Amino acid sequence: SGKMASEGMEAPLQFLIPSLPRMFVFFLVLVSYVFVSGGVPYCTITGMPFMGTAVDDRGNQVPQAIMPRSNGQYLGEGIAVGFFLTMGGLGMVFLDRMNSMTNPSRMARLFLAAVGMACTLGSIFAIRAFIGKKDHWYFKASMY
Amino acid sequence: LKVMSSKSGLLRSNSLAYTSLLTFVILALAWFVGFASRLFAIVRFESIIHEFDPWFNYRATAHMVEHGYYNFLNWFDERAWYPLGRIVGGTVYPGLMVTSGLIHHVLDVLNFPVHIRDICVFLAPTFSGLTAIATYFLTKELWSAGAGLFAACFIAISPGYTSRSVAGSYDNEGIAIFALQATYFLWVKSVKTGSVMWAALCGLMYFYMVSAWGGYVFIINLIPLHVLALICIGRFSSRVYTAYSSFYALGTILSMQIPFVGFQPVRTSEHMPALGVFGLVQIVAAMQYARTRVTRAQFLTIFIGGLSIALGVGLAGYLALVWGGYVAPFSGRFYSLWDTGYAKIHIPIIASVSEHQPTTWVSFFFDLHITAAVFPAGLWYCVKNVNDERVFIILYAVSAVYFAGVMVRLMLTLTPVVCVLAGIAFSLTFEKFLKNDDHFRSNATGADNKQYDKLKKQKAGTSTDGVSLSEDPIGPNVRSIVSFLMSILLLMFVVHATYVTSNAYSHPSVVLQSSTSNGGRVIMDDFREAYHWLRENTPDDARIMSWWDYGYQIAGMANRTTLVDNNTWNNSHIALVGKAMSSNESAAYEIMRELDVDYVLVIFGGVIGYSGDDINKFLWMVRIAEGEHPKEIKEANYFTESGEYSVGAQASQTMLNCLMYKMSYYRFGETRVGYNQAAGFDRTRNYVIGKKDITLEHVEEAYTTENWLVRIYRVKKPVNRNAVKYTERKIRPTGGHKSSSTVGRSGRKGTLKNKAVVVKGKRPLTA
Repeated sequence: SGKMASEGMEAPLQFLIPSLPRMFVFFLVLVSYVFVSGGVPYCTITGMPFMGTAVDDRGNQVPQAIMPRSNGQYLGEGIAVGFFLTMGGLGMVFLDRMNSMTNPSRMARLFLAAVGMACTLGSIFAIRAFIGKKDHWYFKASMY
Repeated sequence: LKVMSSKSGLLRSNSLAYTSLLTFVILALAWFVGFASRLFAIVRFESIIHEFDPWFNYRATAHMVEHGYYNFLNWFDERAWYPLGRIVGGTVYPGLMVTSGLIHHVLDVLNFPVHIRDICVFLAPTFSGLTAIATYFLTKELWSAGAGLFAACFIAISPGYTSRSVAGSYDNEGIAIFALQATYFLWVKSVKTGSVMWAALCGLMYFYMVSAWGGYVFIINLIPLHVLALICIGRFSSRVYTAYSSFYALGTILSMQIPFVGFQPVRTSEHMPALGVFGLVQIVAAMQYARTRVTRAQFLTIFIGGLSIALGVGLAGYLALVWGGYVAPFSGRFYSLWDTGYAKIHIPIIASVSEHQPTTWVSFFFDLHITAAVFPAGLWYCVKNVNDERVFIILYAVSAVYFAGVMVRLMLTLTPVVCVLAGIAFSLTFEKFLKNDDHFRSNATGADNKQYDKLKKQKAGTSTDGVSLSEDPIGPNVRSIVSFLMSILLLMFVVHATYVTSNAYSHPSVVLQSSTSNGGRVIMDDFREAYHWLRENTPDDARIMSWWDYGYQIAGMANRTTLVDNNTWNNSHIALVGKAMSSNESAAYEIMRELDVDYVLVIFGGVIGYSGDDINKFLWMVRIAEGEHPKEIKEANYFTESGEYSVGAQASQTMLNCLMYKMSYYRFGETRVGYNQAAGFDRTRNYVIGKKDITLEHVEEAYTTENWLVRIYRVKKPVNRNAVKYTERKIRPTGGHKSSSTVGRSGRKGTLKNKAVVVKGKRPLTA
């Protein structure tokens, strides 16, 4: 009786509250994850610019995309890293799509598998490149 | 056939045995690995309590073990917040102390005495193993046992959790995450089964969580949100009703047994949503009951009318209670999560803590590594196959990600849900990619069957037949490559987690380490040196004034009375100390005499380049003092003319004369930090200081540690006679003539004016 009554309850309640399609909600969450995991709240609250400037050896101002300290960041590098993190997740979603396709051709299977693995693995290596600029000890320090 | 079935039957029962053995072994290994990876600081150095807050927890636990539980609950600590004192029993979450005390007691009863300090140091690693097990059960309820094992292994070593639970970090979060996962597991179980027993167990575990950590507010808002979401998307059922009603009733009453929480669940805005949803759940269940007994039109009017009246009355009632003062509005700490600019303007103490700053992407990557990348995939799977309990994990994930983005400290609450969802994602992917042959054979046979049936009708069938048969060589290869690459990902995670734990999160902040150019390690133990000096060379009731960061350590290691400590419950008292530090010496001396201070302690990092010293924190002292005494202290006076903060040559006079500057740089102007540096070169600030010849009038230097890190000054007692400054003395002119003012009307020196003259026989004249 619990299930039947709940089905009856659906109609009046969804009358009041519009039901958004699931995938739309998921897409919203994904877009917000790009921004939040990239540290955009940090940049908004502390007022960091999109890119900073640095002085190179000759004394000219050059644009600096990645802040060399690890306790701060610029907006641009944040959004880039957030994008990579979300891409990593989407890579595994592609792999899942590849598996749940009903009548795939060999090309499609291979392509989706390759894209999926490239996304997932590549995102980690890309972010390691970013880390190299910020935390020099990450690649140098030994476990003493 | 019979043999086959019996063999498969044997295999099935054997496989159950193998599965349980494997599960047990994997969970035991996860516990062991989690314990071991938190021991870096202990192995490298020694088994001491780290940081600041754990020292207070340790002192409270030691007090409880020595004096008994009820004396601990009634403890009034007069050696903290002098002269106010602190009611420890009513302002602390006792779960941590009770847990350690209980373990100590049990071991004692078994005649296996362990010092309470060792129990405190190793409590957090032990509970990390329990957290892994609780996460396994939670994920098993949400998805499957395989996903549970993945999630348990992830959370055992995930740096986001490890950073707050290394051995020696004796803090609430160490046990609170275990209580959190266990409460969520029991909640999911009670929603799934709808039984009162599971809901009651959930209420009991919630009680343990409330006793352990102030972050229980997250649970008591997430669970009502989950129930509300279930109502809104039409998944409300009698199971949800039973689970939530039992949990809320039992959990709230139990949570009010903690003295610190008291009546907050019915008096503060943070707990109001739970109460509101409780009422809503009753209304919705009543409507559901009424639905089967009245006609549809009647029901619709009752429903819409009733709901709107209920919502209106509820909202109006809540606003009235807040306006009347019976229900407190959102407290500053939680309000600052929504309005992120609030704390900086109104409550500078909250804004000054470095853990309350918003999160950069580096924290996301360091603390979560691949689990942060794979987490959207887990979310995708949950959204695709949604049911009651997966709605819960989706809500938990979304809210935790938002809060973690706003405050670094809350990365800790994001870590469990990311591990759960990453476990789900990896488990599903491996499941699909490791099972090669069965999948294809069943596909192929299915296709063949179809072809045989419809052979005449479909000509295109042969081409699909051909394709599916020729898939076989490609399929296993692609799948094994994918599995292999996934394993590479997992290995990278393990290496990263161990590496980061070892290098970044295993610093006992009491001891500073640095490495010399040829790889040797230099240990600077100045803090403990200074606290030991205090312990041995000052009277037992000496009062120490320092900035609030060091209060707990001084109370724990030096065992002396402090003025302000990390509890930061009294902003005006802290502002007084800040004012003393930022005023000039005479004004500061007045404040110190008022507060009965005997010793002052400052941290100075200029000789070794330590960047966490008091001069770097000085602006916060000024800001906090300005909040309470805006007329005497103005932040702008401490900047240079161009508006920067500097202690160098361009520093303002107020800055150069304040007590903090004098105490930090006393005698520093004559020292050189290196052979090729100028005298008075500050290694942290990287320039020469402004005023080099400093004289102290009301304090005198008592002790400076080896690397000048901690400097202790003694406050001089007031002089017996007020000395007049040389330039201000007034000289009475001496020499020949007597001025007439010294001679009274009675004439000569040595006689009293208006002395009553006695004539015998007459009454004395009273003039």
